[in-house]
Amino acid sequence: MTLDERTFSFREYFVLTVSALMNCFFLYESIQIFMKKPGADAPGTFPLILSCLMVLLNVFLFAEAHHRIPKCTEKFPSVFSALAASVKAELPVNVVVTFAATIVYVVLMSAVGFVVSTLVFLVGLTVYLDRKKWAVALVSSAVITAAIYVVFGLIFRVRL
Amino acid sequence: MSVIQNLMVLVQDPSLILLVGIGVFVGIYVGAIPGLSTTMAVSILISFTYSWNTLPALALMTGVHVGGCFGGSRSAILLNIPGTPAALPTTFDGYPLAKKGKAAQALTVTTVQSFVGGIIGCVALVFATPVISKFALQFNAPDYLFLGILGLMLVGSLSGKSMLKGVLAAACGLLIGTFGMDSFTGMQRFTFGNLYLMSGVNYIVAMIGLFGFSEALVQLRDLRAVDVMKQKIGRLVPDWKQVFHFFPLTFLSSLIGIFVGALPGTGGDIAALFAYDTAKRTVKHPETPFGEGALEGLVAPESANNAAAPAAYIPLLALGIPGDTCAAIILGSLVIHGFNPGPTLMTKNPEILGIIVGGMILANLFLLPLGLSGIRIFSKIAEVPKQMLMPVIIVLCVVGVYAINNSMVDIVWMIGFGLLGYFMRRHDFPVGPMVLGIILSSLIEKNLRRTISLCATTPFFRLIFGSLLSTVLFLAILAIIVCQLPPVKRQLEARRAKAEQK
Repeated sequence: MTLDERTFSFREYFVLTVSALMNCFFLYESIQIFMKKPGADAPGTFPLILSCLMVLLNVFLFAEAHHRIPKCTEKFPSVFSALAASVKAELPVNVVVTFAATIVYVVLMSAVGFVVSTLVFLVGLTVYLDRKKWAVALVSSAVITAAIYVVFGLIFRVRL
Repeated sequence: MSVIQNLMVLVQDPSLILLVGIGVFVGIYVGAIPGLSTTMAVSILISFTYSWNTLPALALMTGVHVGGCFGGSRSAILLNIPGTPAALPTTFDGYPLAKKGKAAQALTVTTVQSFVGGIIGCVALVFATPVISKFALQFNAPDYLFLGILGLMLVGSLSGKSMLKGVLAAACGLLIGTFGMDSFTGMQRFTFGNLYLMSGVNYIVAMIGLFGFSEALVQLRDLRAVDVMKQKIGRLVPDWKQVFHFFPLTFLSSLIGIFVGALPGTGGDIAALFAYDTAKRTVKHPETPFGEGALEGLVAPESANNAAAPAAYIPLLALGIPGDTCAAIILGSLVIHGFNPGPTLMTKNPEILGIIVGGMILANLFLLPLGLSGIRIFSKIAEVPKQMLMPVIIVLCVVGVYAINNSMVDIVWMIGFGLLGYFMRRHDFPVGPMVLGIILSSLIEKNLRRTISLCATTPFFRLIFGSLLSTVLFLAILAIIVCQLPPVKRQLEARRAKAEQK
C-alpha cells in the first residue's frame, strides 16, 4: 500500500474538518453581516444562504466519507504519527521546496527586480528538481528569462 | 446587422487573423503537453492581454481554446496520456493504433474530424446564438437565477467524483464572489478591515492560482518522464473518402458535442465520453473492435470535443453564462474589458460576437494545416522534462498576475489560491465550479435579490410556475437534487448495472 492509500482516511477527515471550521466561520460572519441590515433582499441574505448551504453540504460530506472511505487504511499508533505520515503524503518535499522557492522568488522580485530573481529562481529550482545538470539549467534558465523578458516586457509592455 | 456581417470584423484586420493562427499554434502544443491545460493557458493569457484592445485579446484566446481542444489528442495517441481531459476517450483507440504502427493514420483522422466537428459547432454557434439571445431578452429575474443555479449544479455534479464536493466548491466560489462592497448598498462584506478586499477578489488572480499555480504544484508530485512512442511518421495526408464514409457518425457526434457543450457548465470532456459511448452502441460492426484501434473510436470523441468548444460560447454570448471553464475565462475577460455578456451584447457590441464566431471558424481552418504538421516538434516538446517546464509555468503565473495591476499583493493572493487549488485537487474537489461560482456570483445574487423583491407582490410559486422557462429550469434543478438522494442513486445504479449485464 502506498503512503497515500495508508493515510487516505485520516487526510480526508482532516480536510473535511478544516473545511467545516471554515464554513462555520463564514456562517458566523454571514450572520453578523445579516444582523447589521436584516431583510429578505438585504446584502447579508445571499452570503447567509450560501454559508448555511456550505455547512449543510459539509455535514453530508462527512456522512458520505463515512460510507465511502475504505476501512483498510492503516491504524496509526497515535494521532501525531498519523498526522506526520499525512503531512508527508500530502506535501512531498518537491512541492514544499517549490512553494517555498516561489515565496522567496516573489520577495526577491520586489528587492532585486525581475531578471535577477527569475534567473535565480529558475536555475535554483531546476537544479534542485533535476539534480545533476548545472550547466543545462543555467543556459536554459538564461534563455527562458530572456525570452519572457522580451515577450512580456518588451512586446506585451508589462512593467517588469 | 446580421451575424455574417459581424464576421467581417475579423477579415478587415489581418493582424487579428495572424493572432488567431498564433493562438491555434500555441494551443495545439499547450494542449498536447501533459500537465498543461488549455484553461491554464487561457487564464494566464488573460492577464497578459489585459492592457490590449478587446478584439486582439479575444482573437488570441479563441485560437488557443480551439487549438488546445485538439492538441490533447496528440499526446493521447503518441503517449497514451490525454493532453486534456477531453482527449481521454481518444487514448482508448488512438494508442492501440499507434502501437500497430498506424500513428500517422490516427493523427490524420483526429485532425480532420476535429476540423469537421469544429466547423459544425461553429455553424450551430452562428445560428443558435441570435435565436437564443432574442428569446433571452424576455427572461425574468427568476429565469436567470435558476439558469445560473442549474449551470453550477451541472458543473458541480459532472466535473468531479462527488457531486457534493462539486456543489460545495461552487458554493464556496459564489461566497468568494460576494467579498468586497455590495454593489446595491455599498455595504462591506467579508473585508475584515482589509483595503485590498474592499473591491472584492480579482477573479483573474483566483483563476491563475486555481488553474495555473496549483496545476504546477500537482504536476511536481510525480516527476517521472513521459515515454514518447518513437516511430517514423511520414506526411499526414487526409483521406477525404474516409471522411465522407464516417460523416454520419461525425454529424451525430458533433450534435452531441453541441448539445453538451451548450449546456452551461459542461464541456468537451463530457461530450467526448458521451459521443464515444454512443458510437460504441450505434456502430455495430467496426472494422477493428472498439478499444483495439477502431477509427470510429477516434471519429466520435474528436468531432464531439471540437464541436463542444464553439457551442460553449452559445450560452455565454446569448445569456452571459459560460458553457465551459474556458468560456468562463473568456467571460471574465469580457467583463474586465467593460462588456456585459448577455442578450444585449448582440445589439450593443456586435463586434464581440463577430470576433468570437469568426475567430472560432478561422481557428478551425488553421487547425487543418497546423494539425497535420509539426509531429517531430511535438515529440521534442513532449520530451521537455517537467523539472524544467513547471518552474517556467510558475514564473508565467507570477508575471501574469503582476501584469494586471503591477501589484505584489495580487501575487500573494494568487499563491494562496494556488495552494487552495492544490489541496482541492488532491481531495477531489473540482476547481472549475469554484471559478465559475466566483464569476457567476454577482449575476446570481442580483437576480436572487430581484426575485425576492418580486415575491413581495407575487407569490413565489406563481413566479416559478408562471413562466414556462422558470418551470423547466426549476424542475431540472429539482431532478438533479432528487437523483443525488441515496435511495434514488442506489436504484439508478442498480438499473444501470442490470442494463449493462443485458
